[in-house]
Amino acid sequence: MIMTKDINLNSITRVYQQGEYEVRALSDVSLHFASGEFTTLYGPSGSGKTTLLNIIGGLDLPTSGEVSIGDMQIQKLSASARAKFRLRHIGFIFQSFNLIPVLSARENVEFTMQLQGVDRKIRRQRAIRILEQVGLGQLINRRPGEMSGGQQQRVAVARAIVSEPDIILADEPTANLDSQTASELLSLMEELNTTRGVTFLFSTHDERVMERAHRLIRLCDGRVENDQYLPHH
Amino acid sequence: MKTLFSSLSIVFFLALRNIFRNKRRTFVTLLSVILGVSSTLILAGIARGMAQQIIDDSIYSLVGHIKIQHIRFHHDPSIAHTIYVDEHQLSSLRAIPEVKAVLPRIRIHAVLQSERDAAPITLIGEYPERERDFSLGGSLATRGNSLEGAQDSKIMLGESILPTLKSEVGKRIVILTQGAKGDIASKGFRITGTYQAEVRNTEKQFAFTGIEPLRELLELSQGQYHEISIILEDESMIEGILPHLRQLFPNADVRSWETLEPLVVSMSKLQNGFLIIWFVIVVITVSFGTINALLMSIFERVREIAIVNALGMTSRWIIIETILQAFFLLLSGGTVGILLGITVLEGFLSEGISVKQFAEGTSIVGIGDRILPLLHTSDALTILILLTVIGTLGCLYPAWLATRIKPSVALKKF
Repeated sequence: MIMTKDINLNSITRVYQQGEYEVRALSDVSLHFASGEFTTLYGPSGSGKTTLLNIIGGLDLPTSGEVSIGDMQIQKLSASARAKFRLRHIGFIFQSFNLIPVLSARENVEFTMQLQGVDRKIRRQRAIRILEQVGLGQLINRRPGEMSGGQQQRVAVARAIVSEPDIILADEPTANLDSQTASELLSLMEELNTTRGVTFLFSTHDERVMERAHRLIRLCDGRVENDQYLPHH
Repeated sequence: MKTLFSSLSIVFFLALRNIFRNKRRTFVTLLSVILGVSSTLILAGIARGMAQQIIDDSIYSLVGHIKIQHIRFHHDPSIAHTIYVDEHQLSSLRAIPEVKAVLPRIRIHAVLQSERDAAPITLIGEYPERERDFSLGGSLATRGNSLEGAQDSKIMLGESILPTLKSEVGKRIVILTQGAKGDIASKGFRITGTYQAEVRNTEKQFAFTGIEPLRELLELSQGQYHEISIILEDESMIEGILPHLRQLFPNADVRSWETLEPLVVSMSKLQNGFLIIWFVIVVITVSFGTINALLMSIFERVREIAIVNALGMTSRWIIIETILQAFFLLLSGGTVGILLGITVLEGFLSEGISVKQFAEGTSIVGIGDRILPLLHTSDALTILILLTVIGTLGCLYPAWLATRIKPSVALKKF
């Protein structure tokens, strides 16, 4: 674990070159996320939500500006160093589940722990426990192709949380889920946030997610339009 | 260390699973490797067999593994250039453990004169019973009778020369040559039988008779020979035994077959060189198939590679996972190819390949009418190692491509 888990974004700009045109995905975005926040980024398509999450997660680099997690300056790290940082501190939940198709549910959940060098017996126990927690105790040996969308997303959530990261970045995690599944997973994530202090950043259009958020940040055309903490939290 | 081992095991596991992801493509790739490797090994076996037959024909016709001669005989095979070897020395040679046979001979150039025609020949005076199983001179007669002993004054001719002389078994021919004192020596010999050689041309070059009648004709004394041909238990013993023989015969020329038959040696070396070039060409060609399969696999898995990178797998492990796929494919395909090649060589082709229809041509290069393939373990290992190393190195390109995938782009696009 890093000493502090606060996320700082300082004047982040991200410009993409698409042919002869420049696309400004983010313009001068400055934000601070305290450790343990349960925050939702929302806004129209193309507003920069995914780009922001990618930059925080080290999957992309800003054109200018600084991004730090604790005292680690993410934009200064090499690609390998960022990958190692993600392995230790950041969990990802993607919209399209993105499980490794040749691995079973249990093996997918064990994947990051295996890269971390966790003992075989321990990681197996943790993986099975987490899968049972998300209601997939009977499907641990199934491959993604043999599961429904909801089941796959549960596995993806299990994979993201099993290695106990400091931060979880979730890009449209409930987009392909039915109401019940979405609700169950959100409850699980809330519990993690409350009991273990894991920071959650969501990118979403889903009101079910926005309802549960502690903080809402609206993005539009790459800028922060609105940033509010919800009073009941 | 624990993390390293753990990462290696997941990468190993992923590589194996990914190979079988597209079974059809993997099958086709494996098949190309298997066929490439097995065909190369079979061709190498046939080439090695041909080369060894040329060498064996050279050694076991009349050259032997080692030859002891007068120091000038090799450059000037004159009747005067003889060595003196007594029976005690011959016994000492036979007593050497590595020596299988000691074959003393008198050898002259002569003219064979039949009733109707003449032909040049090299006439060998020998001990037929010693030559049996070791040289051409000991061949059993294909027609008529073999020579009976050192005193036998009949002559044995090659089957192919009889039509040239327009003669037959049982008829007389005259040998014309030069005696030891420089005058013409001639003698009539009855043709006792004919022999056949692997190479037809050899039959037209050599004739055999008992050593004593020829010694008498040439007025050579007892113990006087033109050559002592030595057959060893194994060809590999030559280098070890040569110094010892040179000590025993300090005034003679002691040579291995390699210096006596430099053309055969050159052909063998040339063939080795060609085989290596052929191996490399096949390996590179087969490797391209594997590289192509891996490239397709990576293009299909762009999103997945982005995901594993997002989850924390570094470029190094992505490269290792890709390389491992290539390694497993090449090693398994190569091994099966080797086994198939061995099965064909040792099983189906163990009796040899008949080249009777090409006998005229093959006899020119010293091969008989049947090629016996020869499997060298070193060939199998060389092909397998070359394939695995070159093929795996070639797959560094698709592996490198995999690391160029940007997760943020791949996750959006694919």
